Amino acid sequence: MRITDSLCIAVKGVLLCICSVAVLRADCNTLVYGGANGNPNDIGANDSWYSDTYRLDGNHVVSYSQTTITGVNAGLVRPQVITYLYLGSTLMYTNNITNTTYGGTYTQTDTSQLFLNNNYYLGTYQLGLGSTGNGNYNNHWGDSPICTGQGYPYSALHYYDYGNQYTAFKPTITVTGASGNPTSWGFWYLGGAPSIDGYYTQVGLTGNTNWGTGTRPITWTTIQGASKINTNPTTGPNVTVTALAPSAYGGYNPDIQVQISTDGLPSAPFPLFINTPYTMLTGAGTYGTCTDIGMAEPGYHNSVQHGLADLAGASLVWITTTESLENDHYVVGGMYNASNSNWAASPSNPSTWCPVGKSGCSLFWDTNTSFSDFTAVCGPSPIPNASSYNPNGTNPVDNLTQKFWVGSAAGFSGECPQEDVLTYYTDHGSVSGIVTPVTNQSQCASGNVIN
Amino acid sequence: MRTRFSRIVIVIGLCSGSFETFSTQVVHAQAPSPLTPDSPIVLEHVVYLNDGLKSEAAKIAASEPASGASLHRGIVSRFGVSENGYITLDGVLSKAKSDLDQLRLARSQYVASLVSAAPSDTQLKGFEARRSAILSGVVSALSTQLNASDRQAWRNILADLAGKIRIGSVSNANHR
Repeated sequence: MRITDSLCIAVKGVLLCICSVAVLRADCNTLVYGGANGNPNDIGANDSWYSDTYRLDGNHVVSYSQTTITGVNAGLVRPQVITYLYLGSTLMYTNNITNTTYGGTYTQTDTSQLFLNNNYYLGTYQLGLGSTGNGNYNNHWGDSPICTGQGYPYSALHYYDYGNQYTAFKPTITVTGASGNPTSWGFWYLGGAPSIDGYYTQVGLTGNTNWGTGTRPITWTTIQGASKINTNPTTGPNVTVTALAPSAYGGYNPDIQVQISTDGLPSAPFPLFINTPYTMLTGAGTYGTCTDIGMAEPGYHNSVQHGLADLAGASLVWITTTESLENDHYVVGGMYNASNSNWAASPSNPSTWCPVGKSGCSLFWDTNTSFSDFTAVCGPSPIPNASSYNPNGTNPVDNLTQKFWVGSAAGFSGECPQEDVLTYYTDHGSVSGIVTPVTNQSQCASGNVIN
Repeated sequence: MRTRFSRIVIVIGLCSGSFETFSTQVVHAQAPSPLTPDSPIVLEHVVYLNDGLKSEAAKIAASEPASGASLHRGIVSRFGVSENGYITLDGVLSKAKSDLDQLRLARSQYVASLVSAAPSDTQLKGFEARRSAILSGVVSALSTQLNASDRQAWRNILADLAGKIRIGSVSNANHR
């Protein structure tokens, strides 16, 4: 209702006003020429409009733009809208379908799939880009063929708008607790033994959907090297990845990839590399008399020095390593047997070498990259008696199969990078028949001997 | 001091009415209009927003069945209500959409019949009155059927849209 006029008169000092009210008519004449007094703003029809872009789920962005015609003459006007959906500055869709229904609301809707046919469509979505000068505005207006057809030529004002910007990102993976945002990560496989001495056999990963707030769906998938890891759980933001097998030998080449997705929108693959104690480096160590080591003569002692190398051939820093000793028997074809020797009747106790200073250990690595395995036969008890150290001596007494277990304080647990034959001679100890790496770990199983 | 009563004018009648002035310029995303959240215009936009989102989700789910549940969650999230609240909300809005569509159809059929005759002022106003009644029904239904937190979410979505919707006259550009 509009007030179109008023008449006021003063009677004895009192001003009396009579208001006259013109009621807006609903017809084509009013729509085209304005209200009763020709006010072009008062035609009985209003246009309301807006445009919006919204992340409907992880993989879909929906954009919609509405034009609504209201007012007593709404029934004579068809709401229209043309939309332009941009991704960055690229026009993705144009919706330009004429609405043939009078009055009410007309909506143009687009849905963009952020990951489709292995292609990402990420970036900033916006309905209408006119404000930047690099694209079109959305166009809202109304038309009235019925009034035009009746001789009332009608051409409504057009209103132009643009919607909000929505920027879509890929989900991302980060290493839990790690500083920065590494694009890959390495950890260790120790033959199934748990983390030890700073060698971690598990890694925590965090998935970030990078959209919305609150709980959003995250699904974890191993897209390469699935047999080498276990991911637990397989949904949710935080998972623990446990090494089940090492990466391939020959460098630090990540050959495992995990990925998260939120409603089907995948992250970039996150590479993982699983290192392992792959080979051992074995060489001569020290030697001397029994007296040198505080034991009774006659006899000798000598050591063999060992180091460990990873899949790239780099030396490992100290890690708890244990040997296993099996099948101690007199050397076949040698001079000695159970009837003339007691050496094999007293097998050596296996040793465990720990990082220097580690509590609960009695034997330690010599340096941070090597440890020594001592062989000593001393005193009058061994039959035959041992003699002074001679690395060229040719009288073997007994031998046994020696295996090294890295990452464990117990034999037959951890990774086995080497097996060999340890032989006790009358005048020295010797390692021979070295097998490293042990590509098939079942060769190191208890009872599989090589001597 | 002598008071000269003859010079005093007392206004005893005031003229009042509602004025709605709208920008009539071609606008490029002008400032939001002062719509109130419970304006019928806002309500109608919400009714069609819900329908538009549902239709779009159904269209996508037809080709990607696995996404149906997440798209539904997205719609619920858009309105910020609980799952049960959305069931109520959707029921009311869908009913209003159905009623509005029937009204539009009736009005469209009426207008289409006016090839040679002038439209009836009474008829057209009647259609608009029915529209207002349908949208008023939305307000009253949801005020009683939603729980407190969902009612707040409902108010929030109305306020959100009221801030985004622009409004103007569809004045005839030929007669400015």
